[in-house]
Amino acid sequence: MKILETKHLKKYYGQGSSLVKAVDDISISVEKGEFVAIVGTSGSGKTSLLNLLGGLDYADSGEVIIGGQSLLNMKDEERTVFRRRNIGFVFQNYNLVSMLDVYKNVILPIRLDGNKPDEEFIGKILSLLGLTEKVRNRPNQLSGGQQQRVAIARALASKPKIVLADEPTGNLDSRTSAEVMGLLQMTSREFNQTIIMITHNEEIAQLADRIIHLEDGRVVGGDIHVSEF
Amino acid sequence: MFRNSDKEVLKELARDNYSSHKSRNRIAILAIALTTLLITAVWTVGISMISTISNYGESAPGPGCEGNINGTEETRQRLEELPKIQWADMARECSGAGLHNREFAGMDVRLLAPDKGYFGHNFVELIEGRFAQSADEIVISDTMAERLGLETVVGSQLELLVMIGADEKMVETPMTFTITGYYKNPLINISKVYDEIYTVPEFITQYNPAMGQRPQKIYVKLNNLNPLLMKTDVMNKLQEANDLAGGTGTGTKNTSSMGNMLLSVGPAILFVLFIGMSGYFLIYNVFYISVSSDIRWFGMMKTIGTTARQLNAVLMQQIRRLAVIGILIGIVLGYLVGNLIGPGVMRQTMYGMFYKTPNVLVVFLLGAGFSWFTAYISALKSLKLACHISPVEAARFAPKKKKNLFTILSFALSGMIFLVSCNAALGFSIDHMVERYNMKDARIFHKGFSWSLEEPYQPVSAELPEKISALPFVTNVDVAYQARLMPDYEETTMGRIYWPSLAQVSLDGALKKEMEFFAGSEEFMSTYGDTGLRDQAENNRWKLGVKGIPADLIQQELACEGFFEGTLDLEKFEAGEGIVWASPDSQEILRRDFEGSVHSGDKTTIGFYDAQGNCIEKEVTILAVRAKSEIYGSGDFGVGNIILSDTLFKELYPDYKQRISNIQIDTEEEITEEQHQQINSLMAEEYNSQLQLDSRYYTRSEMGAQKQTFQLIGFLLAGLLGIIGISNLVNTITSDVFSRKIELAAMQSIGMTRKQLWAMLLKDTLKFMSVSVVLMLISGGIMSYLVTQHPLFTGFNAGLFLVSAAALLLVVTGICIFMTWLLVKVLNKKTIVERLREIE
Repeated sequence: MKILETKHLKKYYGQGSSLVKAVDDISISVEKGEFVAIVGTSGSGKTSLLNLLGGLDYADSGEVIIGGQSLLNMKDEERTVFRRRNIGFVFQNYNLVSMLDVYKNVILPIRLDGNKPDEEFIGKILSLLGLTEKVRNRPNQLSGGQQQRVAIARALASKPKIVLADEPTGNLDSRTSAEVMGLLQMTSREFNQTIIMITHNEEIAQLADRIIHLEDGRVVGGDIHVSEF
Repeated sequence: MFRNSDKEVLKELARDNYSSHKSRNRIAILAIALTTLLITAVWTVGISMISTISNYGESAPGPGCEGNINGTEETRQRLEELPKIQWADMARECSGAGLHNREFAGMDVRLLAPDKGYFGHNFVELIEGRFAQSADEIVISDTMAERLGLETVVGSQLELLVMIGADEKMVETPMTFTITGYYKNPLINISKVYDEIYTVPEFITQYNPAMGQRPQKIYVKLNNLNPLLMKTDVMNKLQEANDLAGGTGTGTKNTSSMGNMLLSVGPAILFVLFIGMSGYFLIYNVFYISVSSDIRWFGMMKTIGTTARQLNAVLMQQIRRLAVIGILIGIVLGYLVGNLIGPGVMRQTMYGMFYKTPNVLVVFLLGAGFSWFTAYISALKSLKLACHISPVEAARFAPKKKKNLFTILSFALSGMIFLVSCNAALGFSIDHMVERYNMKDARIFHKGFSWSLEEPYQPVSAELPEKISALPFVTNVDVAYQARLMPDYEETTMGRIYWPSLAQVSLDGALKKEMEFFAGSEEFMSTYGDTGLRDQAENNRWKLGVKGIPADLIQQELACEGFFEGTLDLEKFEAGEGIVWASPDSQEILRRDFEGSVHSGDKTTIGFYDAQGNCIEKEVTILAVRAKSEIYGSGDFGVGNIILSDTLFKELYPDYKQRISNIQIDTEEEITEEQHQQINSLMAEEYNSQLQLDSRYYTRSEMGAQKQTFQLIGFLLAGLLGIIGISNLVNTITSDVFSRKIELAAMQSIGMTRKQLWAMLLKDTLKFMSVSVVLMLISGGIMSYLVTQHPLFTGFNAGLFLVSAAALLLVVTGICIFMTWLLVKVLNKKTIVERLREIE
C-alpha cells in the first residue's frame, strides 16, 4: 500500500539566469513500512524535497499525497495539523525544546493535538530507545546521541504515517551514528513505520531498504533496493 | 611589522553590515532616541518642576534673593563691597504698617520704595508704563489692578490710606497717587494675602521721615553658595555677611535642612538613574540580538583572519552612526517635550508662574552625553562577544534567554507610580478638604490673637457680629473671645512689635506643677525659645492664652482641635465651673507622661489679672485636657491655653467687647462666592487690616486649582514612567521570543499552529509578568495608602484603588496579547524552513 506519493513535483528558486531547480519534476512513491534513503550531494535538492514531503514548504507545481490525502490545496493551519498527526520529524540538530524534559518533549506533538498520550506505547518507545532512565532529564543534560534518540521517540510517539529524517546522523560520531541508524531500522520493523531519510552518506544509506539518488533536483539511476545486493 | 592598512576595507565592511541590518538599525535608533528623549524630558520638565514647586512654596517678598539683611544705606554699601554678595537692594518700607484701604481687607499691602536694581533682581517686570519717578507716583501689580477693578491704564489716580508716623502716633492718612505703571506680580501664589506697591525713596523724606530712622530690609543675592548643599548654607552665609557689614539681623525663606532638600531632589535623581538604566537595557538588548544573529558571520570573519580590533572598528562605526542619528532625533523630541509640553502642563497648574525652562544648551549636552555614554556601555558587552568569540564557539553559539529582573522591577515601578498617581490625584476630594479646613461656612478672625502685629492692636467692633447676623443667608453667628494683656508690645531694632494676645494668670495645683515643669525643661526651652517662662515661674504670674468660647460651640471646637482626655461636662463648662486645658507644649514634645502633668478631673484655682493688676480668683475643674493637636487648625483655640465658657470670660474681663478674636458664621446652604464677598464687604467696613476672612467657598476654589495641578503632574509622571515600563516590557518580550526563534520554528515544524504558538507565548509572558503585577499591586497599595495620608491629600480610597488596579491589569494584559500576536506575525514572515536553515 502506497503511503506516500509525489507527482511531478517541482520547486524552483530565482529567475532567468539565476534560476535554481531545487526539485525538478520528481515522481516517487513509498510503500508502508519501507525505510527509504534519499541520497545526494550537497545542492542535489534532497532537503528541498524533504521539506516538500513534510509540508514545510509549498511546491511550485506537482502534488504530494500522504496516506491518500493530497497536501496540494491545504491551507497553512490545515497543513500544520496534518503534519502534527501524520508526519514525524527527525532533524540533524535534534531541535528539542530545551525547557521541557525528555518525556514532555516526546509527547509534545500529542499534547499539541489536545490528546492524551498512549502511555503504554510511549513507554515502549522509550524503553526501545533506551531512554527510560532519562525521562526527567532536560536536553542539555544529554549527549548528542541521546538527544537524537529523544527526537526519534518524539517522531514516533504520535504514530505518524511517515517519519522524515533529515541527516539524522549529521552531528554524530561514527559509533553513535551506527547506533542511531540501528534504532531507526529497528523502529521501522517494530512498528511497521515508514521512514524516509535524507543523507549524503552512501554508507549510511546502505542501511535503508531502498535508496533514491538525487542529482540536480532529479531522481537519477532509478531506485535501488538494498535487498537486491 | 604586521600593521594592517585596513581603513578602507573596514569602512566597506561596516557599510555592508549596516545596510544589511535595516530593522536592527531602525530599532536601535528608536531605542537610543527614546532614551535621549526621556533623559532630556526629565532634565527639562522634572528637575525644573522641583525647583518650580520649591520656588512656589518658598515664595516670599524678595523672590529673587536668598534672604535679607536689616540695616541702613551704609550697611547696603558695605554689603555691595563684599565679594560674597552678588547684589544688595534695599526695599524701604514707606510706612510702619500695611495700607488701610478697605479694598485690602484681609490682606497685607505694603508701600515700598526700593532701589532701582531691586526690580530686575526680583522679577518685577513692567507690563505697562514706567516705574515711579516722584513721591506721588506708584506702580501696582496686575493682581492688585484686578482686585481694584482697574484697567491697566497709565495715569489713573489711586487713593491709598497710608499710616504716617510711628507706633501709637501712626495716623491713617489718605494720599492720592498717579499710577505710572503696572507690573506682573511675581508673588502670584500669595497675592490673595500679600501685595506690594512701589514708589520712590523720596516719599519717606517728604512724607514719613520717621521711617528714615529705622533699619530697612536689604535683599541680597549670595555668590558663594555651594551648589551641592542645595541652599541649606544660606542662613549661615547670610549671618556672616550680616556680621561683616554691621547689619542688625537677617531673614530668609531658605530654611530647609539638607535632609529635606535630599528628600525633594532625591527622587528626581533616582528617576534619572532609572531612565538611564532602562535606556541601557533597551539599547543593550538591541545590540545583543543583532550580534547574536550575526555570530556566525563574526566567527567566519575570525576564521579568515580578521582581528578582534578590526571587528571592533567595524562595529563601532555602526554604533556611532546609529547613536548620532538616535541622539539627534531624541534631542529634537526632547526639546519639544521640554519647551512645549512641560511649560504647557505647568501653566495649567498653580505653579505656572514659577516655571523656568532650564538652559537648553546645557540640557542638550547633558542628554546627548548621557545617551552616548549609555549606548556605548550597553553595546560594549555585545562588542566584546562579537570580537572575541572563536569560530568554533560561534558555530555552537546559542543566545542567552534569561529573564530580565530589571524589566520586572521597572514595570512594577511604573505600575506602582500609576496607582499612586491615580489614587492621589483622582482620589483628591475637594469636599474632604473643605470640611477639613472649615468648622463652619465662614470665619472672621483677628490676626493679633495668634500672630504679632506691626501696628497697635485694633479690636473688632462689637457691632460686626450683629451686622453679619442680619444678612439674609446667615443662620447663626458665634463669637469667641481672647484676653489681651496691656501693654502688649516690645521695642526692637525694627521698631515696636505687638505680641499675640496673652493674659496674665496665677496658678496652683496641677496647672502650676505642669507650668513649672515646662519652665525647668531644657527641651521645652530649646523648642519654643525662652519666653520668660522662668521669670513667670518665680513670680507665679504666667502669660497664657485665655479664651472664651460659647458653650454650644465647645463640642465642635474640641472635635476640630484634636484629641482630648476626659469627657466634657457641658453643664459645668457653661456654668463656668470647668475649663479645658490646652498645654503650651503644642508640638507635644514632652508628651503628657511626666510627673505632675494635668489630668481631666483635676481641681485648680486660677487668678485672672486685669490691666490694672487686679486679680479675680476662680476655682475650676479641668474638664478636658488636649492630648494631641489637630494640625489643620479649623478650630478657634489658636494660642489659647485656658478655655472658658464665654459667659465666664465676660465676667472676668469686662473689656470683652474689645477682645473678639473669632466670629464663626453658619449659612443656609454652603456659602457662595457672592455671600463670601458680602461678608468680606462688611469686614472691609471695619477699616481694620488686622482681620481676615476664611470660608468654604475660598477653600473650595483653592483646592480646585490644587486638584487640577496634582492630576496634571501626577499623570505626566505616570505617563513618562509608563513609557519606560512598557518599552522595557516590549523589549524583554521581543528579545525573549527572538532568542527562542529556532526552538519555536522547530515546534511549528512538528505541528504547532500559529494560534498555539501565540497562546504559548502569551501564557509564558503573562506568567513572567505576574511577578511584576503582584509587586506593583502590593507596593502600589502600600504607597497609595501612605502617600494619601499626607496632609496634602485626602486619604486612601479603596474603591478607586481597585478600579485603577483593574485598569492597570487590563493594560498589562492588552500589551502582552498585542505583543505576542505581533511577534508571531513577524516571526512567520519567514517560513519555517528559512528559520530552521538559520542554524545550518
